[in-house]
Amino acid sequence: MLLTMSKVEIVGLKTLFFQVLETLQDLGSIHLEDITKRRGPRYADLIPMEMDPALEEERNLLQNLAMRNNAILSELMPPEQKASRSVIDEKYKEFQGKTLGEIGSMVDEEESATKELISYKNELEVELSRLAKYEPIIKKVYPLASKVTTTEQYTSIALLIEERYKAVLDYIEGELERITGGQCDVFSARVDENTHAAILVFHKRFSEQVHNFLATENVNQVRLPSELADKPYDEALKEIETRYQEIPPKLRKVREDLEEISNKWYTTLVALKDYLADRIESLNAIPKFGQSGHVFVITGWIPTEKVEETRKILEKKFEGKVELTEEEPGHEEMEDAPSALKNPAAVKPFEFIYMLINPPKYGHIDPTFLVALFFPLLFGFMLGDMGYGLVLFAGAIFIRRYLKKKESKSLFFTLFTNVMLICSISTFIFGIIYFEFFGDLLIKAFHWTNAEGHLTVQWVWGHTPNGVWGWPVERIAKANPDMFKLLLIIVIFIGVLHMGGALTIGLIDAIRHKERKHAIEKIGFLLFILGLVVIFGSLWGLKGIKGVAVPAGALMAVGGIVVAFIGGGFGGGLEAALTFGNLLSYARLYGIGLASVILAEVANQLGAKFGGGFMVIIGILVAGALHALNLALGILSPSIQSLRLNLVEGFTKFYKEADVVYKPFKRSGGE
Amino acid sequence: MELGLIAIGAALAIGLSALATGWSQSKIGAAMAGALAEKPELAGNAIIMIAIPETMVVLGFVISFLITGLAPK
Repeated sequence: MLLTMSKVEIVGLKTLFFQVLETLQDLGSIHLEDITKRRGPRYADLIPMEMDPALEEERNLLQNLAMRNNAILSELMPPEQKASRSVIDEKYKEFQGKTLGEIGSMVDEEESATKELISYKNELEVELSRLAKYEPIIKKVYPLASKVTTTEQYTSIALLIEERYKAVLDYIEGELERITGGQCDVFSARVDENTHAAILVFHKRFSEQVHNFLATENVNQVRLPSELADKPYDEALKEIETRYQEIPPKLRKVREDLEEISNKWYTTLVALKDYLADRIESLNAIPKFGQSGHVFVITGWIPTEKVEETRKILEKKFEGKVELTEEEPGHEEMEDAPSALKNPAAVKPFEFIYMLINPPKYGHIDPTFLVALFFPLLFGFMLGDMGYGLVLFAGAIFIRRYLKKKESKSLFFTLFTNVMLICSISTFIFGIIYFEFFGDLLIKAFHWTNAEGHLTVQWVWGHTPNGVWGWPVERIAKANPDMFKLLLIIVIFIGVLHMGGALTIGLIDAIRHKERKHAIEKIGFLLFILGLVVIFGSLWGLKGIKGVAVPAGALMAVGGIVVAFIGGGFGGGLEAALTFGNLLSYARLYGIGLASVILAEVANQLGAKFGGGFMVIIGILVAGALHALNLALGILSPSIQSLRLNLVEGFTKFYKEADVVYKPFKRSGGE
Repeated sequence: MELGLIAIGAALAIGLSALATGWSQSKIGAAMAGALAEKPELAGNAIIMIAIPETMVVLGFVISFLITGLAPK
């Protein structure tokens, strides 16, 4: 359901403005409105509040501090022992008593303590990753380079040559001798399966010619960091190796130092982050308020159940110098009323649907209860399997615990896990109805079928003579085609209930808002569906009254289209007729369920094919893998299809999305 | 002969509807991928949009199953 909201106006002495703002932020119940957008004589004398230069400077300072504080926080790893919210709140309160100068000094101190360490850590990390690139080359060339001794007049170049081109070395050696007039030497060795390394040693005065020659020949030269490029190869490689070994302990030490700082300061910095964010938010809100000579005016919406409490707190704290009055909003103002949801615990998880669309508009009916009723029903009808239900239940519990342990703030995952928990129960219940446990695993294991493929087990009601109304319901119904018809009737009936429910909500909504045409249109839709129920009900079930019921149903259906046409014009009439297609679309419930159970049976059959002995284990693994795949598809597909049926077949019949969603002005509280 | 026709009928029911769904989903999927690059908040709508043409293959599957039920035992 949607919370009832009250439009309020808070008026008080300007000297108390910031204290009132802080109190309202602490209470966290008012959805602020921009008073400058208000029109009419009541607001004519009000001047919008402006940020004076002092406030502007304060905001700049706060933003600067927030930026620096966030930069420090982003570099620190959170301590293993996470601080509780109450500890952070206490630190937050400490900041409330401090001046911006004091907070600035604290940030300065933190920055100086961490800045050098952070930049040193970054330098080390960059160097380590740079040297890491040389590591494979070092490993290849170093054993060879250590054998080469050069004097001051001589320099060296290392080459890596693929094994298949090693013949090129002879050519290079010949050319090198020609260029240097024999003042050179070439050392080469195979360093791994595919590579030959070679070190060319030659007199320095031929350096340019040798480099030019190698460049034109496109030979793969080993290039060293620029600061070591002038050094002989063996020395340069030795230095790289030494530095490569020196960095990790240094890095470890810096990280330990930062960890120590994090343990000491992280909670304080998190509290400061929240505090600064809240202060900035409250300053940003100032242009929404109005003022006259001596008073300020704040307008907004508060849930009606919290109005009295807010009024009392303001009255007590400011001794009557601040007044909260409840207003009677006009029709136009009601359009801006924010929507806030409040549903019982069992229904609340289904609010996840409002992550896909906006919540319902204020003043209209919240259909979450309809989703809460039909989502698990549609899901269970499709997946329906005791085994899958149990696995889903265990999985949902596990993920819930995991999210709790990780203190996850992902609302979507939290809500969706709870939805899956509820859906696992409906899956289990439908599993009992279909008597499926990982498909036909139990039936196969205990040979509970006869030659025709019928279940031989007797349940509470047993099979009736025509084999239709018995339990368990055989979903695949190989030996019982009537069951197919029965299940199709059931899914269409679910569709009638679902769409009928949605249309009834639409009708009530239209009556409440005195939208006559919409109400007539919805009546037309309902009449059309009722006509279809009468026709098909008499054809499938009450065959005795077929002669009367079919014409009567047809009359109702045509009448429904005409009424919908009167209410909604050509579009309304057409939509009423298309409702038949919407109803048929519920056949997907059966189709997807069928696909799921067939895949489960395939998994069991394939697993059984592996025979006895050791192969049983492989059979179980294969069947398990297929069941896992089927379950994954079985969660994804019914979820999407249930959503689709709720949003497309259900919501389009009545739903109005909110333009304004309730966003209370409150402390960030770690968000 | 009759069995062959039943089999062809069932295959056409699932095959053609699967092709139609695949074709529509490829078009919608490409368009939604483009839209998501601009507006990631449309992810929920994208899933629903992509799921809409699945009706065809699901109903095709049901019809196909219905047709195979006509096969002589």
